[in-house]
Amino acid sequence: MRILPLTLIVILATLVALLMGSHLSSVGALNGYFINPFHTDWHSSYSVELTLTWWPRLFSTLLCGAALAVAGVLMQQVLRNPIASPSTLGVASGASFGLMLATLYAPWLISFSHSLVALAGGLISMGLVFTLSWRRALSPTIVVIAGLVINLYFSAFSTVLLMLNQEKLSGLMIWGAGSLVQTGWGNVNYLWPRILAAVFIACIFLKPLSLLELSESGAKSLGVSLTKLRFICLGLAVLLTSWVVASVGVIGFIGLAAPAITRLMGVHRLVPKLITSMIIGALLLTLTDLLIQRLPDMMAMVIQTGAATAALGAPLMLWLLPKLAIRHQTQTETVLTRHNNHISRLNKSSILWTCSALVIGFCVFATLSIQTDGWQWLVLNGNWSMLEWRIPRLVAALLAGVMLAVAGTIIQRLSGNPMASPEVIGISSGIAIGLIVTIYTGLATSTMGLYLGGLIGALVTMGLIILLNQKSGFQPERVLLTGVAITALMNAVQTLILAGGDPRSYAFLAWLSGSTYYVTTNTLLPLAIATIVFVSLGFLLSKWLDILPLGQSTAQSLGMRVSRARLLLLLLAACLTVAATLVVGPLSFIGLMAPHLARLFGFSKAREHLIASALVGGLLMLLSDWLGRQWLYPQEIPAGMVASIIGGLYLMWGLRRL
Amino acid sequence: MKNTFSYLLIVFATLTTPFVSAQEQDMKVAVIDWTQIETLLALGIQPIGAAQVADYNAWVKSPTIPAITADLGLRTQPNLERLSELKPERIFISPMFQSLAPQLSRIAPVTSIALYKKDNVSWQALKTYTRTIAKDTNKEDAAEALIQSAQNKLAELTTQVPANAAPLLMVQFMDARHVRVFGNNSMYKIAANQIGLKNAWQGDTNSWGFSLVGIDKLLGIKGQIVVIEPLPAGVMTNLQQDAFWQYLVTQTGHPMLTIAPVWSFGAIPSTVRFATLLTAALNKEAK
Repeated sequence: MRILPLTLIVILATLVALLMGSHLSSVGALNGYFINPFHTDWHSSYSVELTLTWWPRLFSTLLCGAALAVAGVLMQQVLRNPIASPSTLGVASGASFGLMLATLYAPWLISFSHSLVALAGGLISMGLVFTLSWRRALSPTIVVIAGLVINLYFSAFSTVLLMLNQEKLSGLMIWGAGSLVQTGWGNVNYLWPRILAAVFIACIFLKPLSLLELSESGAKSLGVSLTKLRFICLGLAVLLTSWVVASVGVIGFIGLAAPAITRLMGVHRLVPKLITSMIIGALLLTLTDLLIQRLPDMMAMVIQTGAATAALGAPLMLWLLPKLAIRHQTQTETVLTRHNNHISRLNKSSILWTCSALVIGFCVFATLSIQTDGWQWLVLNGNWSMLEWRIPRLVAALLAGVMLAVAGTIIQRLSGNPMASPEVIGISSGIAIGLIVTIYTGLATSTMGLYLGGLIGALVTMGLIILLNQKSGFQPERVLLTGVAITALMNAVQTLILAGGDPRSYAFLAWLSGSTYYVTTNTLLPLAIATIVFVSLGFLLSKWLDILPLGQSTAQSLGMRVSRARLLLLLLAACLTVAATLVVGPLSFIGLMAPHLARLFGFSKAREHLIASALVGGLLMLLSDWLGRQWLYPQEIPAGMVASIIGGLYLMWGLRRL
Repeated sequence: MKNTFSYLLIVFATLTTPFVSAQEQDMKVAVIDWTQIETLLALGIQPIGAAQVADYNAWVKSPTIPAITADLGLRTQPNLERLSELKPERIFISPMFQSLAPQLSRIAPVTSIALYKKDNVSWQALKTYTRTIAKDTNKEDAAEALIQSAQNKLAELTTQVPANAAPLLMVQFMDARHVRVFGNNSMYKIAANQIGLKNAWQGDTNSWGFSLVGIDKLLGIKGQIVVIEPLPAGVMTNLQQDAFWQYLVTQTGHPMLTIAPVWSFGAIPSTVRFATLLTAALNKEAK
């Protein structure tokens, strides 16, 4: 083992020991028979507190940290993807969705066993991911994409449930933020034999796993069944995550950060990597938790450990990024060029046909709707004043859909990564953080204040993305990782806010789910201008988008200044996202789905890809906005959520066909 | 007999007619915030539209929203089309929903009234709040009557509360290991204080009067534990098996009390209801 990892472990361990020592001495436990963590003296409340809350909490953080780190290492190894982590397979969101459904519709299941429900949710979402990627022998890229889709799908549904049932689900939010409060040894006793068994099984597969690192064909020629190996290792990782998630709650980032830190310190061989990650993961989580316990009361009430690790991990990740050596992910590009067997050509008549579908759809959606007296058609009842409410929302949805789709197409082509989208590179999250700050500092007295806060958030994020990626020439994977870190930060902040139980947080959640609710005629004009300007800029630059996916060297040999082109395209995508996000919220996932759908239709040349995905994005958003207002009338489901629910289904179907 | 009945019917009709016409003269209001809904209902106003009616009836419970009131959908995003169809004369919101104001004010004048904000909630504030709403709806008389009857009821309860009752540690379970513990700025505390009881939680609380803590933070506090329902699924079984919780309850010196659901962020009607339930529970335990 090298010096660097050892030093880090020693530093972390010293810090943990110091904090432990200071707590133990402050309650006077060091010099007495209280020292035994497993023996409760019922006559002393100090002893009860120590042995039934403090010690179990310490042991469970150690266990959970180690388990998540092992899960992270296994996933990153199997998927050969540095962004992979336990949350990539949607385990946490599956578990949380399962618990929500049970809380709302089958409370007896929760009474029966809380952890079993969460475990079932996590396993089902893993099962779905595996089903979607089975036909491609669980290929790393497909597994990651399937995981992402499942993740988005569950979180969209969960958000809708949460908006409709905020009172009933407020308890789950604490679990979602990963509070590690313990009141006995139950969780530790549940976790340790399971984690030990899983780590033992993982050790059996270490050798074939390390062969996998060399190359896929190398491992194959040695007679390792890839599908079986991947299935077992991913399954183990998911089980480990599910156990942790089910017993203590969602703990972010440890599964991503521990292996990443280990790799950055130059540990590349699998066995030392696994051990080092495990120790670092355990110590990191314990250290964070000990620090959080020392916070003054008011802060400790708001900050839960699971979300705090995510919030602390994100800046750490951002700092580590420039030091991360990233292999070019050739496998992601294969997905993007897969549809060559069936290339569709756009001709004038098909564009005309789609545009008229858009117009007809618009007219139908504007006039046909549920009202107080049931389904009404404005042509028949003559109540045209309703259009005053509907038209701005439909137009805004359409424009935002177009802009996000174009931004998504640009980013996906730019990065050669099918997971990329404006949401994923972190711009939307930056806007959301800006908004959270404005709402909670009380500056959001007007919609204008909200917009301004969002805009500042977006600009800061973009500055950060540019600052961190300038040196690497806006290398796509790096930009994506930056986005992942910023998104993690946003998620952490959001979870913390929801867990605090502050009733204001739901107004924020409503905005966050991407609704056209706040659109008025006054906000439409700037939106329309922004759409026209930015989208036509996108078409002007479409030549770059044809060349860039061919690779850096090809692009350079064609006389292109790659860094500059990437920066400009990134800026354009950011502007498109800001304009759209300020109107419909950051989490619509249109930017991820529309380009995918356009590609599934077979449009792969840049210009056609842009047109097709813009039309798809616009139509999808239009339909979502209308459907969201009819589905549970008079409750309104935000357009962004409906879009992910509809689009996600299609995307899953498409993935299965890949 | 038949004559008597028809006579009674006539008397009844003449008695109710002025009442009905008074109802018709009432301002047509739409309400988003639940605290305002319960106050308006207690003042005798039936809103033409209210947000999340079914959830209100499940969580606030009393006074119930009548069936004629239209459901406006979510509090965070009330249905604008339905609101515009209802043509209210005034829309009430709380500052929490301030971001809705630009859209809502296109339909009717919007009045924003605050109750739950930092260091504001007290019995005096509840009275002011009720009077402010009453003034905006021309129901000043009803407000004075409501306040008077509430004060009478609370005074009556004060005499019924067992003497030398312990300070109350009022909590609501979020899950098996976390509670909202209520203290300063909370409606529960006002209710307890109004009937002469003390509150045991001295820690910080937020604008809504509660602090979200792990149950380990309750150790060492002397006082009567009062658990306000509803308990999340499975929590009761969990607590019965939890040695730490059992120890915690024993150590307070009083058995744990549970109280039927009362809206935590209510106004005068909820305060009186909570005080009534609390007194009944304390008396039952004392026996």
